[in-house]
Amino acid sequence: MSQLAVSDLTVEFRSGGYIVRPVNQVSFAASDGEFVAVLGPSGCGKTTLLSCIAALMTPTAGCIRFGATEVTALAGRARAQYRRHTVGVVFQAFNLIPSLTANGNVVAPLHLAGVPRRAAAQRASELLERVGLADRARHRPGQLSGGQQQRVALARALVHEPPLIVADEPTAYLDHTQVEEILQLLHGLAAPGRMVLVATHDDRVTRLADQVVELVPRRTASGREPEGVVPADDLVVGRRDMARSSLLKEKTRL
Amino acid sequence: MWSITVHDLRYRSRQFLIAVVGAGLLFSMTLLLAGMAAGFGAEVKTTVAGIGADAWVVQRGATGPFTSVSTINATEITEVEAEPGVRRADPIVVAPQVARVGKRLADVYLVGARPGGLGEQRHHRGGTAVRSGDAVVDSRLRLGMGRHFFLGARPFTVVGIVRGHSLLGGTPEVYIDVGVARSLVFADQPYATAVVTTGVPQRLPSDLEALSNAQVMHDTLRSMDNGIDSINNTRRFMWGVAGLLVAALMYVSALQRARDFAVLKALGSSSTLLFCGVAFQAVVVTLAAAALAVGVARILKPVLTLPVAIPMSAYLLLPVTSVVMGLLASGVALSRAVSADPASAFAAI
Repeated sequence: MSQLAVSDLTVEFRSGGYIVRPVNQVSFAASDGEFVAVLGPSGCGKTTLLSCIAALMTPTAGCIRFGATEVTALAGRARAQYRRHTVGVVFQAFNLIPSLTANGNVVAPLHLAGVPRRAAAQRASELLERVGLADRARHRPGQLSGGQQQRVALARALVHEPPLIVADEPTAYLDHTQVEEILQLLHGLAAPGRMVLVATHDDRVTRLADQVVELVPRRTASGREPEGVVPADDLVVGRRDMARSSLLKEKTRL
Repeated sequence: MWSITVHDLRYRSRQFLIAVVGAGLLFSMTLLLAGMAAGFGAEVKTTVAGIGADAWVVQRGATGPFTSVSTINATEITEVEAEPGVRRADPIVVAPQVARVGKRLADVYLVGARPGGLGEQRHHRGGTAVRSGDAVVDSRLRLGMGRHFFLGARPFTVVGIVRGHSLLGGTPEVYIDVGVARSLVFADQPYATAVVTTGVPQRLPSDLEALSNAQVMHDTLRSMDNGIDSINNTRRFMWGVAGLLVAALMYVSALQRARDFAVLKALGSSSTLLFCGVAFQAVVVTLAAAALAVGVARILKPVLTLPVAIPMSAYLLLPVTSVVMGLLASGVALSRAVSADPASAFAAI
């Protein structure tokens, strides 16, 4: 049972002579099996927050703990191992390697982790089957629709059965039908043993969420608190026990 | 990682093919230039070895038999023959001439040698020059057996053909009877430009000196020093251009793959692994270019008028240099691979 705890997280960098602070003392917690939506307008730091949780970026201050691991203290090989085995990342722009087939894209992280060729191929086939793309395994990203590419990305994120899935605007480039498909897949992944964090400004995601972490710019925070919102601190508000979509009440682990 | 790298090579095959062809053509030029530089030495070596002498006696102060015309008279020739250490001595006459073949004029090196003596060409196609109108010519003169040509007003018939007997970068040699050569060069005076000997003379008249084969070769090549230097400098320049071409390809490829690098890092790849992938691609490109270069050089070699003798060392050095060059070229992409920020994979397209 892994618990995610983000405490006083601050990210700061210099740009054009100014100090930019996309994430300012953010704190929240999430439990194993939860489907968490990270909500907020563009530029409020959702992607930066997810980058820190996925150990792709080092925060200026604060702490992230996932289970027994202090993510913010990881470095070098331990950090790479965390990225490989603990987090599965789904990107807004899919980010499949264009030279590889769907199967090759799913196999790639397995190869990087030193999984033998045959075992990797078998695992990739299973995952593509699970996301409904077994028949498109030999197609390159350019030959797949946006929804199909995002499903391949999802399969790639799952290769090591990570306990944490981080998805950044996974529905941004998809049409209505494709959004439903991807949300069902993502929601189904949040089950005991795995937590799913989705950064979005899509209301369809928040309807499914067990918890919504809303990043609100400091100036407007007070004016934006909707009913039922509990302020976590100056910048983060969290909503718990959201009404779930009727068709997704029963979660099944993918 | 290798699988990803190989797939990327296939995916960008046209881009890599252009680099392979470009670098391959430049590599082939470096091979041919190496062959030209070595060719000057090879033709001199063949010429000197073809005479079959142990020593070359020339006028003291003359730099060598092929680079200066000095005369040794009949008395001196007789004296050399009688010197201790000399087993056989034959006069030779070497002089640049112009051959006329129909309307075509060709610069040649005339070598007059005694029939049956040192300097007579034996390893060739056809017979030896025994009659006054006979000539054994180098194949670069482009004359077949039985063909006629003129030296001055005197007609000659080709009775034998030798290969690789040229000087000064492909000027063909014409071997005739020394008596005929004297009539052409010295108006029938019994002079020689050098006396070649088997056995090395222990002492010589004060106005003569003996040169070894190595000294003769060194002296003959000396006149080509500037040319050889220029060729070698051009060769180095071409290596540099080929290296830049591959480096440019690797840099562009790294720019194109910036997002791939970020994604691969986000998936757990290390910077070292990414660099190894880039270096592998660069080495594959340069090795493919080297293979292409060998083929192109072999095709172009016979077309060139200059003597080209590509040394085995150049063939062996080519893949080694290519690998080193590939690794250096991939260094250009190193910073791209190392500095790839995995967080940038989150950026929208």
